[in-house]
Amino acid sequence: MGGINRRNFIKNVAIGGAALGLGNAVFNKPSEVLASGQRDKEEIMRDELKPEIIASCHCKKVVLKLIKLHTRFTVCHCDACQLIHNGPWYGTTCSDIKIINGKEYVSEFPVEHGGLNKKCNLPRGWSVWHFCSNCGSRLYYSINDKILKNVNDRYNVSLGLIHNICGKDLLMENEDFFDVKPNYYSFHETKKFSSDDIINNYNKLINPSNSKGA
Amino acid sequence: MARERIAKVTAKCKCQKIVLEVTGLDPDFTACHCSTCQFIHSGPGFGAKCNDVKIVQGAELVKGYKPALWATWHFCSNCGTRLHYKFADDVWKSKKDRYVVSVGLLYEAGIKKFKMFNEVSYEEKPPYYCFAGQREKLTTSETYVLYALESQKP
Repeated sequence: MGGINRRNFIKNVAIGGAALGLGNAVFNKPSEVLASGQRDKEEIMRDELKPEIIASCHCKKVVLKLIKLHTRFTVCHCDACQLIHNGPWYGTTCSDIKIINGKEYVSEFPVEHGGLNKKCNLPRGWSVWHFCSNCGSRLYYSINDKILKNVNDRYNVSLGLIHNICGKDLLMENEDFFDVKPNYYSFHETKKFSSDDIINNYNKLINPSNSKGA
Repeated sequence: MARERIAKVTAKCKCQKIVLEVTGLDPDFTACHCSTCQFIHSGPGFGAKCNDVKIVQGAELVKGYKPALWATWHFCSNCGTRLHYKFADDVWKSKKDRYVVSVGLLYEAGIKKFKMFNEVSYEEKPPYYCFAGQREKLTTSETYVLYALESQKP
């Protein structure tokens, strides 16, 4: 829809809506494209790896090369994600990220417990959160390899960067920190992990000998 | 139908350098699926309307970004926390609801009674998530019409 058409459309509907006394009569009939419901999981059963994707932030100053990107992703409901991102974090893991352009715009902020809590013995900076300092686009989290060793996929990339590149291939598989999820939104069926599940997992990673085989 | 507004909330960003004072907050918020929201939030944007936002502390760290003529988005340049967006003065003539604040920021400041009231730019929603429950869903064109009307409210 071109600029002029769109403007005319809005103008016409706005006038029509006002004449009808507004209310929901005009607005609660979204067009047929909205009818899609839950994703058909049969379509995408396998966790496909994308060998290489070039993605940029909204203002296009930062350009990233994402290597070996997983198409099954996890949503994080933790308190830190709610606060920083305004809702849950939608991210998927990849094995490496190269900043092709705009390195000077990539801002970093070290995460203290990553929304975990005092039960977790990860030190501050175990993970570093990156965003574009010009447009504020979410970029990625990276795990500090001096603190957490033996992690294959050190990066967790914002789906916002790739939603218009490979969105049709992505599938929500897990939800983390499900016990602290606010009650004003919920998704369809996925595997859910509580705060304790995640903290135990991280504690095992940082100190395998203490895990008592649990 | 509309619930009572929350008179005043004080919220801090993740690094606590920025303090916002939000007044006249509507607990019934909008989820926006547009492409810009995907870029800047990692997923859909959760925004709650309010009448005013005052930056009590850390104004020098508030970074604005204006991807469209009608609004400027704000975030903390130190920790990257999403703060709010503000409709442009020449677009938004009404004294009400000129600001839209991050729901997660206010949730972590203690406001727990939020409810997702509607979903906008629904035709832009990527296929990999879908919110449970029934509510009003608007296309981008329909959203512009709604905003055009609300911006003229007395």
